[in-house]
Amino acid sequence: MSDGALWGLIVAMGAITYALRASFIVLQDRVRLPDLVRRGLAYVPAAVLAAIVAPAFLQVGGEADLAVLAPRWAAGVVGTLVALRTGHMVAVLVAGMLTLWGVQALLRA
Amino acid sequence: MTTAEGLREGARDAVPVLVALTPFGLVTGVAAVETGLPLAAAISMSYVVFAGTSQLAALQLIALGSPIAVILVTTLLLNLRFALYSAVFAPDLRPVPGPVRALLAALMTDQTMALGSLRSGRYPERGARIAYYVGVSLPIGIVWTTASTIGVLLGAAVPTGWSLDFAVPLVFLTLWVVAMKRGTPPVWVAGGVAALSAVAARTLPLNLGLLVAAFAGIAAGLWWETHRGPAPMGGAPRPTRARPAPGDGPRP
Repeated sequence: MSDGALWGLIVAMGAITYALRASFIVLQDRVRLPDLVRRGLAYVPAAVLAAIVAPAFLQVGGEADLAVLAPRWAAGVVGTLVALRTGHMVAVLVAGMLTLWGVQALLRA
Repeated sequence: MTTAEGLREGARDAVPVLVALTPFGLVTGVAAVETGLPLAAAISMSYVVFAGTSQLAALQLIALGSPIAVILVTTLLLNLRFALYSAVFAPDLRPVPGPVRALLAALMTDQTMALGSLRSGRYPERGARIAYYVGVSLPIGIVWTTASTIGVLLGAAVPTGWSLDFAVPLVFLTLWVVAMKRGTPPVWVAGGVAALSAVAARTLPLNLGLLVAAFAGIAAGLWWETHRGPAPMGGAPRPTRARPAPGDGPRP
């Protein structure tokens, strides 16, 4: 991505996000959130996060290189267990990265 | 309850949030550098966008070479919840002059919503509620932008061999697991369908698989809610933090 496109992207992301934050606070009763959108919002985090997470752990680029994938799977499994148990981001980061590095080192040895 | 007390109490309530937010800010900063963003852009992102999850998603998509339109739709989807929060706070902020309102809106975060809506029942006076909103939001804004700036500077110093870019999927994994754990059956359906669709659709061009999977998951959740129930409380994105949607009844 070129520098110009990147800055354009950042500004556009900022504009979209600000418009959403400002919507009702600034316009008050002049806008309304459609009912379907309001109901659908309940499923956005689980759905969007899953759509981001699943491919990140199950594929790298196009080729299925076990040396790259195995550490990610291990870290994913450990990370999921720690997240289920603690729900704490730092704990998941520490456990996940240590697992990743550990398995990478084992495969190299 | 005076304005000063509202400010002070808000800032005090924000402290545990600040502790949790710091590593998230650091990771976001590091991820921006790992993605290859120039220093100025990496730092600016947190100030201009000021919404961590969507920033990390954008970085992931930039790394994968997604087109700008896909990144912007993802941003819209991930941040749509702010419109809901905006609706919740709109009545409190109605008497504030327009330009000040526009400024206060920029400070809105998930944590403002969680804390602000929890405590609003304690403040009968509108002025104190507004002060509490500022007292919570301002420290969060300062700590988030500072942490991510430090992350950018740290990230620039870390060698790439550490696979630190893997921290981003781990952050998303945590957010996803927590969302699923707190969710109701239709939320599990939404998350499960989206995960399977994302893997199945990963070969779609332009990274459209992400959006296809996200919409499939949301549609599946809505379908399950309609046909199998039960609906999650309130319609807020995080059911445990939900409060009645505006219009559902009088404020507590």
